[in-house]
Amino acid sequence: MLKKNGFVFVETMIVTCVLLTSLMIVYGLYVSSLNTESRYTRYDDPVKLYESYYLSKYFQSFDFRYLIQNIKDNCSYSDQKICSNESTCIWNTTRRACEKSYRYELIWQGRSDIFGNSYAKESHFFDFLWSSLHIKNIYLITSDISSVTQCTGDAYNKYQALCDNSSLMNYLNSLDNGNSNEYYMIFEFETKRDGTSCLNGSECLGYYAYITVGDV
Amino acid sequence: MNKKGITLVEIVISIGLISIVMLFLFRLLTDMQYERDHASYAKSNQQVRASVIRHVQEDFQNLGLKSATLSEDKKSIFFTYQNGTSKTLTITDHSLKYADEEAWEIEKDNDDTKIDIASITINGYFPDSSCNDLSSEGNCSTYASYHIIIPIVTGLNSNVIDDIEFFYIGLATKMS
Repeated sequence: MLKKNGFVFVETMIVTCVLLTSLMIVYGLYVSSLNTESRYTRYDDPVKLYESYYLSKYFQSFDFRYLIQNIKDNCSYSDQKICSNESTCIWNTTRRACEKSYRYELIWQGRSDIFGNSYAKESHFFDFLWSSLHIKNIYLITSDISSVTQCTGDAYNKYQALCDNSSLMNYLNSLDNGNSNEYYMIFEFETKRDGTSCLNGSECLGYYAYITVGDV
Repeated sequence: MNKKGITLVEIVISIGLISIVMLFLFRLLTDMQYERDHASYAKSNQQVRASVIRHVQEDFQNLGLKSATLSEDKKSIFFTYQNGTSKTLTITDHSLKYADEEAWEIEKDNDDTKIDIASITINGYFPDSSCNDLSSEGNCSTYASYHIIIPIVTGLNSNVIDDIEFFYIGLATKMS
């Protein structure tokens, strides 16, 4: 039974604490929903989708199967691969793919990953596209992403390079599973909010778009 | 516990605590109201942006872009297509009009949202003329590209996700 001479100090303190806690929870949810919304605006933006469409057409206009093979072959000649970052470089990815006979995860981080020593005539044009469109990585993965997005146990070992990229995994989790005979060519762009280059990783925002390509 | 009621110190502490809570609450409500108003304009302008991009890019795909040129006052972009037709995108501070087909209005919110006409750019990238020489080390691709950027300014902030951009890659022999 409450006393009839008004609130006591302890009661006021308890009410205040409850209000403060509720407010903190609401504010946390509000900030988190704002962040999610802001992240989603960077998924499949129309500009990035059309850029990805033309880039995909451009790559496929060459012998696309040859380009894929070129990457796969690199694993047998791993000493030819020059890599500045051992943990994320294509050399590790392709070597692991070869050792485990997994061929579904390909990451292109630059011209040599895609063209190797072939198509030298394309070098300037490719470098121009890569820098002017602020491309960070291009991923080619099976469109049946259910196994890719698990990221536990064997799935983590198999897709480690993808699993370690949390922004990419957020994007993959927003996609539907596709036909297992098709591939997603996923383009990862990275710029500052105002669209300028971010070289040292600060204030960088990742933008994602995908194009479905046939069985490669 | 003192049964005579609350002391002055207790009242002051209580009022202080409740004030802090009210301060947070007020800030939260103000933020939410701003976001709601801003989101409404942003959503509307994102729809306009998507519509402009889709309309122009569909012509790029269906007709094949030959060239894109910017008028001196930067208020018109002339697109010439590979089937011989040409269309003009006319730009004002708050509107865009593509040929006689469609017109779009950019909504203003509290910020001074407008098209930054002075910063409109067209970047064409073509093979070097010296590429006939086999020893040339310039751009010798068989492809060329156009990247057209129409910046939208919203107050002091510049966000690339608001900008209208068109992009095209085609065979260089069919472009100029």
